[in-house]
Amino acid sequence: MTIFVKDLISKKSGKASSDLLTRPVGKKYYQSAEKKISSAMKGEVVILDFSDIKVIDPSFADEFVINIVKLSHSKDFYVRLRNLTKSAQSNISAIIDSYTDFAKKDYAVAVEDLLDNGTHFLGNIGLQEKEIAEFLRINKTASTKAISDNFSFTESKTANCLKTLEKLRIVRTDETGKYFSVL
Amino acid sequence: MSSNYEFLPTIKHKIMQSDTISPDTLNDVYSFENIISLEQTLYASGNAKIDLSKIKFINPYCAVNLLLLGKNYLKKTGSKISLINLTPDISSYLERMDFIKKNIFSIESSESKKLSRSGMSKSIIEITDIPGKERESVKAITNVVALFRKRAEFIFKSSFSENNTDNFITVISEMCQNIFEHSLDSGYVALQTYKTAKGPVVHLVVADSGIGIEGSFVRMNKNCGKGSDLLVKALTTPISSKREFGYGLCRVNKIVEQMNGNLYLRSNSDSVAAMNSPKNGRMFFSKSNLPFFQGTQISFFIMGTNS
Repeated sequence: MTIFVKDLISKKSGKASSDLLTRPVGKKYYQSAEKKISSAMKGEVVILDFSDIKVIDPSFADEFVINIVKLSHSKDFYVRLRNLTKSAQSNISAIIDSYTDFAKKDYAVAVEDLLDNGTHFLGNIGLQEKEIAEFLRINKTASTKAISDNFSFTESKTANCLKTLEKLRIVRTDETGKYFSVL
Repeated sequence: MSSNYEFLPTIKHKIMQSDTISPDTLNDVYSFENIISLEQTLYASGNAKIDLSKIKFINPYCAVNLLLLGKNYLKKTGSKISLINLTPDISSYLERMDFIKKNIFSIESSESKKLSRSGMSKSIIEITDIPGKERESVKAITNVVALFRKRAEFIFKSSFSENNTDNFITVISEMCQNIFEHSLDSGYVALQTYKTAKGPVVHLVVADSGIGIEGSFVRMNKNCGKGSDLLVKALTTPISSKREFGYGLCRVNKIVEQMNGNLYLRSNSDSVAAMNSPKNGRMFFSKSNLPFFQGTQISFFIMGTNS
């Protein structure tokens, strides 16, 4: 499912704004997105497409992005962001880091664009986990053994990293034990 | 890194009569401190005056805070402070910034030369009301940001970039939201570009005369420190009086730091100035027990645009 964020709220008059600002506006967008997401299937990847959006301020990001990421944990779907400007990347990254500190639980989100941190993920992810997530992004799918062999990690270490990534909802697994990237 | 600083060398402004203040300068945060320290003299009689005959330049921090001072006086006494002896240049500047339109002061000036709103006006954001109510405030913030986006090329000139514009919009939005979220009052936002001895600057001001940052925490029964320590904390840690945590000021300071800009935050009787030092990174200079000036005022400027 792809949600074009700029189309979530219809503008009665004129052009929609290229800037997503303030908490009240973030709440409205979240409510609208939540309705759409309610029809998503279990395990589906929900793409939030920010085309034509320039600024996402921290208050909007808190109400919109953080709440959707939290919802993905409780409703069992995956989130992928697309078409983020540099400013939007920085603001969302700052919010995820702050929320992680506050909640004392790690949060992360996958982004289609190559980010300033050299990866495709925002949030608190360890170095080895990042490498594995990038490997899966490129290869789309792999088994624990294939990943262990590629990085020369032990299988138990690889399995732990994959569990962490699965918890963060950055990778998915199926009944055969194979892992898939959400990107 | 934090340390105390002394910034009030002498009280330069003279009291001409018991109810008249005659400032020598209104070009930085420190010159406005002198006005604040003399504010009570305005309440001595029912005929308060501020003589601007010596003023050749007013920066947006002083202009916006002068409005707050006048607004508070009007609220408390029911009468307006008179601004007297404005030079034509100052009169024109105040008109161009929509200061006079606010109808807070009685203005007695010599004739003003009308400055055209085209050209020059594109490098400013006129003093704009940020209402204390959520719905109206969101609308006002949206309008200010739309205007800023339209004028960004004229404001930043050679340092214009999409990223600078986007970063500034985050700052404007987050700073203005604090007014309706926390202050229990309305406020103003303004932006001006001008030349200084160190080069041209882009100067943004957001100010209100609400309950102040500490007042906001006290109101919500939250203890995150007091005085200027609380201000430094608000700039460096994601704390919030309303929620479990917040990002506004903390994120704003980070962006200003990345843009190599300076930030001055004043709230009731405390202040903190934040600036980059090549040796020590971001430095905070805090001050407590300043003369009381109601509300929170934030001034943010970056150097380096070319005219």
